[in-house]
Amino acid sequence: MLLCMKSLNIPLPMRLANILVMLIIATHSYEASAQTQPIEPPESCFPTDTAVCCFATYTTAVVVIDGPVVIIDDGVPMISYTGWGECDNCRQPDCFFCDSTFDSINCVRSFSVTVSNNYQESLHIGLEAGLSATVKAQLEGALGVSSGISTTDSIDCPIPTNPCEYLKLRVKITRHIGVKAEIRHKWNLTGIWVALPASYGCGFGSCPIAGYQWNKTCPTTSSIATATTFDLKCTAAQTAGPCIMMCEQ
Amino acid sequence: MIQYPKIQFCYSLVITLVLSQIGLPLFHLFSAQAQPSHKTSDYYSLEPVDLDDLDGFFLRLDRVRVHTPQGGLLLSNAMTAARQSENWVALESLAWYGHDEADNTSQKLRFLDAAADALSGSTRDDTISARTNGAFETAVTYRQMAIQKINRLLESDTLKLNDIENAHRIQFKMVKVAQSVQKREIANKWEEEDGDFTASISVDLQRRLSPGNMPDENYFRAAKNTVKNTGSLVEARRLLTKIDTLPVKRRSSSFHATIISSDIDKQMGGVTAFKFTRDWFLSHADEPYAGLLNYLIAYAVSVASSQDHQLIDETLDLLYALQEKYPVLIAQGDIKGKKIFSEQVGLARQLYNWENHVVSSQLLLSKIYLAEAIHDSSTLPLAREFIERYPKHSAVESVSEMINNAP
Repeated sequence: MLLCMKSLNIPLPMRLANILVMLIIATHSYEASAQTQPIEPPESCFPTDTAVCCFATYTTAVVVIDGPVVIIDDGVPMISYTGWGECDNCRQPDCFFCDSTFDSINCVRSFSVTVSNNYQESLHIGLEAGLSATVKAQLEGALGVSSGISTTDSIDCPIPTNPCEYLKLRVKITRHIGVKAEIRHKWNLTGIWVALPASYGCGFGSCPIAGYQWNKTCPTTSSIATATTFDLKCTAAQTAGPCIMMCEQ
Repeated sequence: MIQYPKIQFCYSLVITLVLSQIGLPLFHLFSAQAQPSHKTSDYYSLEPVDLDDLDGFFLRLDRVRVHTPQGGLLLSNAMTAARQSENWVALESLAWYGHDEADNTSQKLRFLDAAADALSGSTRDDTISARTNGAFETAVTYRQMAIQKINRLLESDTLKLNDIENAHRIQFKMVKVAQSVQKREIANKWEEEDGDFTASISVDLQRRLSPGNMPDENYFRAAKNTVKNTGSLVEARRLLTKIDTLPVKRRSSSFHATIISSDIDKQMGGVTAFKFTRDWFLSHADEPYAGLLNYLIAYAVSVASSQDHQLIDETLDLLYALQEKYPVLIAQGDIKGKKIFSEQVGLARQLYNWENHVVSSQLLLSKIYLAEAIHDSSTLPLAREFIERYPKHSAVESVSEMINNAP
């Protein structure tokens, strides 16, 4: 540009001044164009929407469990015994040993996770449900459990080593119902931008659609999950009584 | 002064205008790089971060600066990506970049928290490597850094709730690291010290702490780990007793003792759990806790098989005394149990009678087992009462057997 002006025999100070003017005009033109010509929304936006506002839909949540599991409800314990166990395979002729009928017991264990929605501002109802589900799914993955699904475990009760003792044996069953724990975690969300006609929304950074702004503050990036356990545990409990050689000839 | 001809000025103006139109796209090109447009800046948040090329990423960050919204967003997203892929090495590098660039102590604490995440994550994934690679020494350093920063904020009177929460998270993770590398005594010492520190800050700030960060929870965790690691109930009691004098606590010492008793039951058996619960309940008789009473009544069952005739006798007497003295607490337990059963099975069917009286039925059942163990004459009447009142209880079969086998 400078060379071009030089060829027209324009003195250097004027050449520099002109370039300065040009830059000012260019800057002004750019700013004006940014304000008057809407930037096209990202591909994920719905171009047919009118009265658009910014809205984010979340496709990925990263959940980090960053605190202790805090028990908030100690539940109620219940302890009882089964009936007496008996020998069922007494070996003849010297029947000093036998197996108890209580070698295992089926225990049902269930675990459920809920995520409380403690956002700063309520989101659009559709997104709020999606957000909660996304965070919950991630949390379940991190904890290795699925919400609302019970698993059935077969737990082997410890059998006393002295055979005389388990001739008088019954199984103690301990149940803790309603023990609840809180799991502190935080989450980050990433996703695609969309424009929706609704007037709510939250998102990272500035609104990608010219002339519009996010009109709600973003949700907090942490929430508290509550886990409820329903455990059935069993242990073999020996009872008082003399060693009885039941099958001795 | 040299006078330029008017025509020369006009030439220059025309050229300027022409060139400005050529220059506009050029300007846009450069300005987009230096200062991205709205659209570009938003796409920063969506751009995948190549965690294998952190040097390139840091160069990019150096251009936009971490203090700008774009820079902050870039770093935040990169850390998210590192966490997501459990790339602890990358997360640590990113966290330290943020830490070093941060311009105030609060921000530095936040990034130190992320570095703690990385250390904790890598230790969890590979404990053996963590032990040989000095993870514990790093944990000591991180913890000291967190304490120094907190003290600095405290001295400058700028300590905010968020800072304490960040420091708590760091300390919690460092306790986890210490536990992972088998430095259990130190982990417990840290836990207790964290509780002491929190208890020393202003009561107003303590009241606003989130769940998990209250000092009673530190003492509880230390007591729980003590039981698990050493089995020392004396030490567990000492730690739990510290909760009694705290001005701010999430739950009472009796609540925490209840949870600990459950661990003792699993680890050391029901009789030890019973004795621990009994002693704690009786030593806190001025503020009796219904939950602890529920557990005490349940653990009494275990005493029946202890073969200690005197203990069985005393326990039976204790159950009668508790029934007499704490009818309201027992009723509270029944209400709680009913609520739990209502949530769990209440929608599918009507509750059985024993589910409406879960603690009362347990009390009666415990008395039956104890009476039976010492061949007390009350066994049969109690057993018959139980079957009559709670016919759907899971222990009915066992109690019926007692009646059938009675001499």
